[in-house]
Amino acid sequence: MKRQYSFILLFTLFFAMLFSCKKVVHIDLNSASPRLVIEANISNLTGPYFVKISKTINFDQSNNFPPVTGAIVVINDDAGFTETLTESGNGIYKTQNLVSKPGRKYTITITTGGQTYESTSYMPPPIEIDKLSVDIAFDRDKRISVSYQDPPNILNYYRCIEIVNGNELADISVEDDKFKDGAVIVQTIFNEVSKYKLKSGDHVTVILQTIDKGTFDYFRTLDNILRQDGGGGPPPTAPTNPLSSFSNNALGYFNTYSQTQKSIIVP
Amino acid sequence: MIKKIIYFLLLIWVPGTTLFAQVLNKFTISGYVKDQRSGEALIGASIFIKEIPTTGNVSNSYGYYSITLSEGTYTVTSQFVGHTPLSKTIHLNQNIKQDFILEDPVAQLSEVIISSKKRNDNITNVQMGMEKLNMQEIKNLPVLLGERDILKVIQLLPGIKSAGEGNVGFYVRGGAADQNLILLDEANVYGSSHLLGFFSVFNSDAIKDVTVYKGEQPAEYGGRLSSVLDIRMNDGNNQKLGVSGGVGLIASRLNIEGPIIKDKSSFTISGRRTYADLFLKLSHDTSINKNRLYFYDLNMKANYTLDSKNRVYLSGYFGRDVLGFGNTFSLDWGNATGTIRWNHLFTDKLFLNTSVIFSNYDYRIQTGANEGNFHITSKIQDYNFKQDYQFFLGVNSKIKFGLNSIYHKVVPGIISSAYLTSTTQLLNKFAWENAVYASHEFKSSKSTTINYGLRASSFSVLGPGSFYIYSASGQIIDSLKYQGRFVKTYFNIEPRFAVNKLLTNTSSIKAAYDRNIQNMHLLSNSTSGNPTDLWIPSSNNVKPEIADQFSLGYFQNFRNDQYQFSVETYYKILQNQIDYRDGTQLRINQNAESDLLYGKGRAYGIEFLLKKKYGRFNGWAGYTLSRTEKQIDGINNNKYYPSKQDRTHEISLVGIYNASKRWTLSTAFVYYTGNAVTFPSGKYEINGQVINYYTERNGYRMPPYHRLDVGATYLRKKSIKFESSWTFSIYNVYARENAYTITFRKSPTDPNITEALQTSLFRIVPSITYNFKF
Repeated sequence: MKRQYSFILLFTLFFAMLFSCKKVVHIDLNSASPRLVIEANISNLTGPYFVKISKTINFDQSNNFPPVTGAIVVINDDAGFTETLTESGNGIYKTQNLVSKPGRKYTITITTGGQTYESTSYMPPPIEIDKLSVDIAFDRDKRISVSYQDPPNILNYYRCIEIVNGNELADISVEDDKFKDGAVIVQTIFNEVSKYKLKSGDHVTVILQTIDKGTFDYFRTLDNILRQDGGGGPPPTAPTNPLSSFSNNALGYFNTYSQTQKSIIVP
Repeated sequence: MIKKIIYFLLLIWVPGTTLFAQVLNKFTISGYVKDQRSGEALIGASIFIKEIPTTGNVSNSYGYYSITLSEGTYTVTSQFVGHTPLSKTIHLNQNIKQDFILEDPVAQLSEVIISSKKRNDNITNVQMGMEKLNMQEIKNLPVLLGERDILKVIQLLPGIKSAGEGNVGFYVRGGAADQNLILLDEANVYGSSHLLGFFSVFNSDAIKDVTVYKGEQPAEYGGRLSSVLDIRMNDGNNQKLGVSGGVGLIASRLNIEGPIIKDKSSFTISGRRTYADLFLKLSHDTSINKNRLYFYDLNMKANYTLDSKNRVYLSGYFGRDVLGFGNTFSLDWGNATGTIRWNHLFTDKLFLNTSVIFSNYDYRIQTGANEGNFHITSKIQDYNFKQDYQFFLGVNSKIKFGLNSIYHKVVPGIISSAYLTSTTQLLNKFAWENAVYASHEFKSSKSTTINYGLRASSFSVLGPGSFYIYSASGQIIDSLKYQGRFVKTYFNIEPRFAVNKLLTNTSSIKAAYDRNIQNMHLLSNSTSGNPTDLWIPSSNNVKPEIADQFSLGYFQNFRNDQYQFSVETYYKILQNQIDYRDGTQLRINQNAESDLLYGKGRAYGIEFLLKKKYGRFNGWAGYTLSRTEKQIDGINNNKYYPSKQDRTHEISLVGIYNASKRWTLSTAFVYYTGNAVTFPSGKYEINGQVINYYTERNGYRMPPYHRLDVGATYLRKKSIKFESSWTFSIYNVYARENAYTITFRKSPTDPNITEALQTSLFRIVPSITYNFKF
């Protein structure tokens, strides 16, 4: 459903372009007490897997985000495996023994500063990409479309990551099968956040992650605010923080995913 | 028989004094007030009687008036803005039919001189917070891109605020944009804007009369909390065939009207279409010339006078926006409305209008060609039956009563695709809304006029369908399947009361209280309004919104009523207000209701207006000081927070100067406090990207907005046969960069810092429009 929204934004842009102008302004923003930020990933590829913990800072501070050290990070799965992650510095914690397996459910527990933060996530089986194609849109920009077969009768959630000439783009592209159960899904990756324009000869690799609902909601709502911040569209009513998959008011996500990939050279 | 019953009921109800008055030697003067040139009925023309100075009557929406007086000789005068007043001496010894055919002096190239005595309607009228727009004034005001727009003009009135730069959405006394009842020939217009809010769907060529009620809504209106915008289309010239039109930068207009049978029946057809896309077609580039981008409006109306007691009207509106890029994407949306009306006079005192109305708003989205092909259709439809009775009792006593029944059908989304074997559909919603009302306006003493009324409404959520019950956190707890028709019915009583106390001939105090109920709610996550915003009816989860408004005003005219001054204050208490949970997904979501949070609101303010209505120079100055807040559990620690439409100060200045017979100059200035917005208070990093961290909703302000527009109209030639004019205007003369959006990003020059980026839309936008009429 995002696709049509993107077009509305583009359309507004098209109209506004005739007259609009942009400039950097100064806005006095309040300060906020720091909040915990967690990024945790487990994939179907071989480990180690990493968990990164940091904190929020005030808006006018420079972009150095304080790492959280000394936290106790424990991951266990529904097959009875438990592991406490080792700290490898700079707020990063890694697994040593965990062997992932699609179909399992994982729970992560983080204890720091006397508080405990928890999240649970399921790792769906991988889905192969049938093909990648390059669409040319009205504005003559090229975009990558990813086709794959959705398995019927279960809810599935997807996330695509676009890597161009070895660099991962910042665009978030998630999809569910709500109205396409069992169909061939064609997921187009829009480049409004990265603002990257594909050129002939670009080497593009797309990673297709199958993700669980919590991760899907997190990236869907994260995308909302990234697009708003990208500017151009009609003013949003009230941007909000992405829906976190963690308890106790921590920001961030716990993504347990299976991935497949395919590459194409832009014609 | 029915007639007798109605009479009987009325006579019981009306206070005793009036009852006895019936048997005395009283007679009725009644008739229509019309424009001489076109035969158009004039709405809201005043009719007054020289011998009884306190009498004030106005013609109704169909130009009809009725006054009952004791036997005698009277000088009856009718007057309407821009027309020469007309007086008739009447010997009243029987019921008399007297039509007033008013001349439009401009048509004869003479100076506008209006020398009437009755210019203090604003003082004597009991109605508060009501504004009537003069279409003549609208024609002269400067506008964005030369497209005159009634919705932009009303935004210049105190208490009415624009939803944003160049936007036709409006907020009345702290109400949200969906809390305005927008009626076009009585049909509810759900999507009132074109081109994502920059233009309204109301082609001013087709519009005869615009009345906006921002304060007490008369009992005949219901269904929205904040205001009523009652727009009436032209009936069409029943004297001679006429063609008029205009050519502007954005769109061209053409209007044809004329008699079907002279004096008896007429028609009018008005069309408007934009042509930006025609330029796209000129391109040789196939990726550009296949794009579609336009909107059009078509207004049609016909009427037929069957006899002196019966008249029928048929009116329709069709409008659509189409936007498409090659064959990969298209989005189109629009309204269709149709109204059949029958005016019937039971006697010269009892007027009935019966209407059957249909209204449809829909949008269609198509994405992707071939295998990626995907369609979404969504619509909302109203089937509406209405009866409005007006009973003109005596000199100063009038009763209105009626009923209204609306069947709502909402189709939130039908999704189909070439690769899906069946279409998927979000559950349709059905509702049945009913109301009966009655109001009575009378003079309780020489200086006091009272209007009291009551509207009783019901709203029934209808099956069949599944109805979900959600937990406090928005999870589905249970779903109930209803086969039967009635799932839930809400009953509400809406009292309406207004009183006017004349202090002197030129000053009065007015007070009003009214309660309004709203059962159709618009869910939108953009401030400017998207065509794909979702209307939902009240349900088992969504309760009817309720507003109680108290208002008090002081009105003063001076310099022989040349200047009108008013100050009005209001306090509104709002219940069952709606806001959204974090991370709401409204579009194509079966459980959109689970993303809603409910609470209460309050709005209060004071509005000052100084207006000069007559003379070569006229215009107004308005100032509003106001506050609008919501309190919703789950947002901002359950504390009161400003609504997005909360604006502390608002100033508007409008001036129109008839410099000569040929030139009319105009100017408008607006200033308002920026909207309440949500800005980040911190930031953090995810996947190497800097993300904004939000701590409170609507905790910040956009910068103040201000702008000056100027316009000039040159009347090239004016005769009975042909007239043409050029309108020049400049929007935002001093190129103020008003903030349309403020967004935050990593600085492109120094990745270590984050900065705020302001986008402004329109600086100095000149335009030129050519209008003609023959």
